[in-house]
Amino acid sequence: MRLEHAGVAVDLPPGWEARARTQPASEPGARGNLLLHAATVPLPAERGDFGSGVVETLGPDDVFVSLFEYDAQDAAQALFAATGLPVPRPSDFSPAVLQRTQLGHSGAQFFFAVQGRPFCLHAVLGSHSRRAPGAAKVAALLARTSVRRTA
Amino acid sequence: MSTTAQALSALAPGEVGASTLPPSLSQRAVDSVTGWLARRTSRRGFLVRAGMVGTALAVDPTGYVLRPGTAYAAVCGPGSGASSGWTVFCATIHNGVNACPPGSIAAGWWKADGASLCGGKARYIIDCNASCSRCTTPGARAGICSSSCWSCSCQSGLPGTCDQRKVCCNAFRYGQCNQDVRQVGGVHCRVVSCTPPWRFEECSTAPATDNRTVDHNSDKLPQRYTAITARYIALGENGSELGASVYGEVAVAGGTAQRYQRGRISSKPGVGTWETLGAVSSRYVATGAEGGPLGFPIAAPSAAARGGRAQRFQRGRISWHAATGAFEVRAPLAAAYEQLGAEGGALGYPVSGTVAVAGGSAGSFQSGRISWSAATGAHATRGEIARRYVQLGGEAGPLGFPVAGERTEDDTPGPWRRPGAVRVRRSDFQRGSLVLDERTGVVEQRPRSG
Repeated sequence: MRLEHAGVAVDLPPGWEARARTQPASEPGARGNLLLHAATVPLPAERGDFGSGVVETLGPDDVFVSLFEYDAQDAAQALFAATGLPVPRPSDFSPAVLQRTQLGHSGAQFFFAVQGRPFCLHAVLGSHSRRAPGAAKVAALLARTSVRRTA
Repeated sequence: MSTTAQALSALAPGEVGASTLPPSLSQRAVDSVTGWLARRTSRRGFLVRAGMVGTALAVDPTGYVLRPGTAYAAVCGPGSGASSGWTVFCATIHNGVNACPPGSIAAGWWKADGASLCGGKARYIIDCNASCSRCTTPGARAGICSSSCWSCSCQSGLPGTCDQRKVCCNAFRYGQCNQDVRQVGGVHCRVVSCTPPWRFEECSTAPATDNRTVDHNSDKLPQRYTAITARYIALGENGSELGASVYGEVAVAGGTAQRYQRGRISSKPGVGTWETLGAVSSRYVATGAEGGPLGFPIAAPSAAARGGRAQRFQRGRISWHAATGAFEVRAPLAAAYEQLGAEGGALGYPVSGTVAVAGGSAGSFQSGRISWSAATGAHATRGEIARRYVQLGGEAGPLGFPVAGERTEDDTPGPWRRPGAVRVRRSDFQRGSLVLDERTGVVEQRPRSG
């Protein structure tokens, strides 16, 4: 099943749910940015952009991914010097890399630009001790994700 | 695999979704709890029920169910324990100051909509991340250096506060601020604001939202949306001349007051809500602030003559100039001072506060003095006459208090100015007069005329 929105497309592997929307711009006249969530659990309607409301429901084998886009002009900043979607490895995950640390959970965060668009990818695993299969799930999802340049 | 209608029934407005999940027991459980609480809570305006309620239950289930009407009113809000995993507020660990502590920088922000602490509008939470003061981590894509490089170390559970959240533990970056800094340390603490952070920090506008944090707070931060909050927001909050708040509001003299890094806001029903700034504010506090002789401010600070600043209070005025500093002119001297043009008038700026003298009070100015007693009222002496008056002992001297303002006259009595008569300036006192010959600059003490 394919989800496509605002120049980002993902072919969902079995056992995933994904949502995407264009965020309302903070200032009048500004362009809204993409937010994509994907998880191996159901996504509630009300959830924080980096996963609060979802990550609390993750089981040990579950995964949550947030692809958060920044303002287009941010792409030139040093924070987004890396290019291309990341390929997460187990070693990228840490129990401390979370918006809100939770016992057993593990997270990874990547800043990068693709097609001139600046992003943060934040992935949360339900179990740090099972980060190897968790990281593989995230990597598999990202392998099926593509980003187009938008006007 | 097919899209499940159940899983996608909770799409937010504007969202598109797809699912390859089988129907889920957990989703049904959340839906069930949501419906149960929806029948028992009146806070629908704050919560989009689906999911949010399930989240509230997940974070603080006992507190939320037992105290649904007051859960958000708890001083430090939900998730205030170290085990919640959230990061502490900067005010909690930084002497009440709602600003990034030294060594940390704003690294990102999110907002929580519908915040009662912001009058129903969005409340912004800004992460202050540590710096990578010891090293950087080559090749790191996370925007965060290794924890061994951070300028702070992980702590939790501070004593003496209900904000027991973690200090410098979470290696997370929201990413909108100081993007020119490729790597920062972990989140040291959090700053709150009702003003968008890109208006006072180096931040971009990319909006991140987490409504679950709308009532996170600290007992070292302001606790309610008040007239003072509204005034502070109107002035620009952290980006204003006041700077960051320092602790919360306090009750004072029938009103309330709030300290800031560079000033104060005072509020009293029927009087108003006004800020005092910089040196004027410092002097105001030194005189006793709202409970002192000046009472509450009754207007905003205003520009005064020659680049100075002045502010009116219930019972007086404070005037500041770089050349003189800030001093108060208390009632009833202040009325006489304002009649003479205040800072731009004949007296110039005050060079002392209002002081008690035998039988009354007095204040000194760049070009004179104002003296007050109940018997005589408040009157000014100016220039050379004032200088001589002080030399003679001022109010406690042989002349006593002035009984009128200075006047200019011919030095011969009579209805007409005679040719050759001397033009003089005269001030009358309780027990005599001082007369200044404008040609010679000589001041004579004479018996009081009339």
